[in-house]
Amino acid sequence: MDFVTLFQGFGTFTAMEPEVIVARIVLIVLGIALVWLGKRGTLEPLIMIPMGFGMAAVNAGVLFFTDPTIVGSDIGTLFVAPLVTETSALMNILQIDFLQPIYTFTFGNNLIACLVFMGIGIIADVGNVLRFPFTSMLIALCAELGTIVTFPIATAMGLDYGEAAAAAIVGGADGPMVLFTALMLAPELFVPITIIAYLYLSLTYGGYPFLIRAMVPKKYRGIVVKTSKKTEITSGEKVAFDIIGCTVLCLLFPVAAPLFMSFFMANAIKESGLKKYAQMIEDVFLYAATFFLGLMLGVLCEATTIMNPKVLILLILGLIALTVSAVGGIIGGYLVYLISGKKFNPTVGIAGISCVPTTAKIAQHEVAYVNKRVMILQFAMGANICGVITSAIITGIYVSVIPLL
Amino acid sequence: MNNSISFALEVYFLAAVVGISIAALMKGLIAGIQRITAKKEAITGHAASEEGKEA
Repeated sequence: MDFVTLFQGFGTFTAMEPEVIVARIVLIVLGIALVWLGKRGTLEPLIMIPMGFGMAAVNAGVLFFTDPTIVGSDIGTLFVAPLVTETSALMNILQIDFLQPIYTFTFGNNLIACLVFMGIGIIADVGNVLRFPFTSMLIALCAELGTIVTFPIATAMGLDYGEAAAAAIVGGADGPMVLFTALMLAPELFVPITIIAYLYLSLTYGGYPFLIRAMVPKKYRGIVVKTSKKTEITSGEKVAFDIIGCTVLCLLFPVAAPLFMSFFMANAIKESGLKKYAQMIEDVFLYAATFFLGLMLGVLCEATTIMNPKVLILLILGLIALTVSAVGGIIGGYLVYLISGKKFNPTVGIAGISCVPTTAKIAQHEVAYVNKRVMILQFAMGANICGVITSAIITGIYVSVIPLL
Repeated sequence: MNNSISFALEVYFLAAVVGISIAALMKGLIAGIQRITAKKEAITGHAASEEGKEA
C-alpha cells in the first residue's frame, strides 16, 4: 500500500489544485491559531476553540471516496456537506457526515439562531430599557449607522441586495441576527459572512476601547450621570412588556417572528421565576447552541468554500460596518449628552451596539478607568438591549422587503 | 448606487419610526401599569383604614 492511499489527509494534497492546497494549509494553521488565541483569551474562547478545532480538522481530514456517486465528489470529508439540497442525496449524506443532522435540522431552518437568541433573552434585563426607553432607543438607533452605511457600499462593490444586507447586518454586532439574515438572504455566502462576523465580534474587546479613547476625551468619560428616577421596574411590568412588545413586533415583521419570540419568551421565563426553564435555556440551550455554532463555523471553513472571491469584499465590509456603527453609537451618546443639558456620559453610546453584554462592559470599564465613581452600567445595558431590538427590527425590514424587490 | 442609498435611508427611517414607537409603547405601558397599581393600592389602603375604623 502506498503513502497516498494509506495517509489520505496527505494523499489528497496530490490530487488538488495548488491554490486549494495552499488554502488548506493556511486554514489548518489558522485553526490552530484560533485555538491558541481562544485559550489565551485574546479571542472569545467559547466560539473560537470549537471553531479552531473544526477548521483544522476539516481541512486536514480530507479523503478519497470509493463511490463518488453517494456524495457527488471523489474527494471530501466526513463532516458536513452544506450545499446538498436534493432529497435523496441529503438522505445519503445524513447517514455519512456526522455533523450533517446538526446542520440540516438546526442551521437550515435557523433554529440555532433562535436558541442563541433565547440565551440572550435569558441573560438580558429589560428593566434598564424600560427605565430609560427613549435614551436607550436613540443611542441604539445611532449605533445602527453601520448597517445602513455599509449597504450602498456593498452594492457598489458588486454584491446584490440580499448579500449586501447580510454583510451590512454585521454592523449590528449581533451574531444570531447575522446568521439569520445570511441564511435567509444570502445562503451561498452564509459561511464567510458568519465567520467574519464572529471573528470581528471577538475582536471588539480589543478595538472598541481605543475608539472610545479617540472619540471621547477624558473629561467627558468622567461625567457622573445622575438619575432622578428611583422607580424599580417590577417583574410583572417586564413580563407585560415582553408579551406586548413581542406581539407587536411579530405583527410588524412576521419573517423575524421566531427571533422575537425566542428573545422575549426567554426573558419572560426568567422574570416569571421559572427557574428550571431558565436554567435549561442558559445552561443547556445557550451553551449547546454556542458550541455547535463554533464547531459548525469551523468545519464549514473548507478551502473550497473560503476561496470565494467575495470573501475579501466581506472582510472589508464587516470592518466598515462595525467601525461605522461604533462611531454612530458614540455620536448617539453625544446627542443624549446635549439633549440632557451636558449631564450624560457619551461613552454609553458604544453600548448601543448590541453585542450583549460585551459593549456595555467595555463602556463601564473605560469610564471607571478615568473616574471610579462613575457608574453607567444601567444606561449601557439599556442601550445594549435596545440595540438587540433595533438590530432585529432592521433585520426584519431587510428580510421582509428585499425578496420582494 | 443612488437606488441603494435611498433604499438604505428608507430602511433607517422605517427602523427609527418603529424603534421610537416601541420606546413610546414601553413608556406608556409602564406609566399605565404604575397608575393602575397606585389606584389599586389607594383602594386597598382606603378599605383597610375603613376596616380599622369599624374595628
